[in-house]
Amino acid sequence: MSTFSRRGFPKDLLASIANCLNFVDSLRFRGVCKSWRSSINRYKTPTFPRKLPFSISSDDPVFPNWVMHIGYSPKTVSKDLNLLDYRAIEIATAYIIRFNNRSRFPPPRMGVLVHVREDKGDKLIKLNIAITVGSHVIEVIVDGFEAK
Amino acid sequence: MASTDDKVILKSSEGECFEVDMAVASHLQIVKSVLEDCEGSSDKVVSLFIVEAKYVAMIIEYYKNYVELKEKHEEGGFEEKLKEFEKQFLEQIDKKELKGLVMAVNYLNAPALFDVVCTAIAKHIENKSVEYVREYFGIVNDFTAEEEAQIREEHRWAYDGVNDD
Repeated sequence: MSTFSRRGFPKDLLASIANCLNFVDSLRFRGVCKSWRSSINRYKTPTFPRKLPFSISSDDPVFPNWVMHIGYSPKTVSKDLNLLDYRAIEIATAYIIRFNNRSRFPPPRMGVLVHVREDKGDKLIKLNIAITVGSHVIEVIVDGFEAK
Repeated sequence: MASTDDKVILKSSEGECFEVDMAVASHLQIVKSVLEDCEGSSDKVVSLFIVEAKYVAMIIEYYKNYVELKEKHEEGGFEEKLKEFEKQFLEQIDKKELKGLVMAVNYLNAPALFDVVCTAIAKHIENKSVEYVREYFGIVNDFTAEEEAQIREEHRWAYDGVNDD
């Protein structure tokens, strides 16, 4: 009987591994082969509540309860944050998003404000997220945070 | 002296024998069910025909530590200690061996280690190109050129900025 080393990698195991992938990787690896494409859902179902992938502080006097601005940047894409993981409760269009000096990226010219909220125990935390309009994917800029 | 009833012998594909405590071996569902099927038999040897000795050794090492840590930290802190150990454990295993290990663990049906190894493999292929992943797993690209171009176009941005290796 042949051992595992001499056999091909079983396809059902690919699905288990695909489950552990982050969002961007899982999208890309749907292009590996047909069985992997069918074993990875197109979008992972957003679950709630989710923790943000980084810690956030509030020091923005203008938008004290902004969690982040997500601005357009042609060369880099965000692999840290999947907006589908958050439940949007309100959307508004905004032109000229305020630029944060701490950010490494150029200021976005136009964007959409997405309000999301996250239940944390019995405390409701409101998060506001801005994303730019356009066909490209967007960069995350952490801006400020306020929990009330 | 420990009773031999508490021991079981696992035999690798090469015929190498490993004497293991029942407490450790019972984490391998396949071993557990084989022993249950042969209850009453004095023969406590389980042949793992398709698992090589090096993987048997790795799996035993993991569950030995798992059982020891669980006993030692019964009152709490087990999970952190296990995480620490898992990190060390994975550092000793090269990337090619991870593939063999996950297949062996899947065959032996050992859920805790299976999750650890799947996560480690996912971490290894994080930010890698589609081509790298195909080569790593020995997957043949079964898309036509048109299909592949279309797939790439769908999420073009996801293909940018991957690591070269």
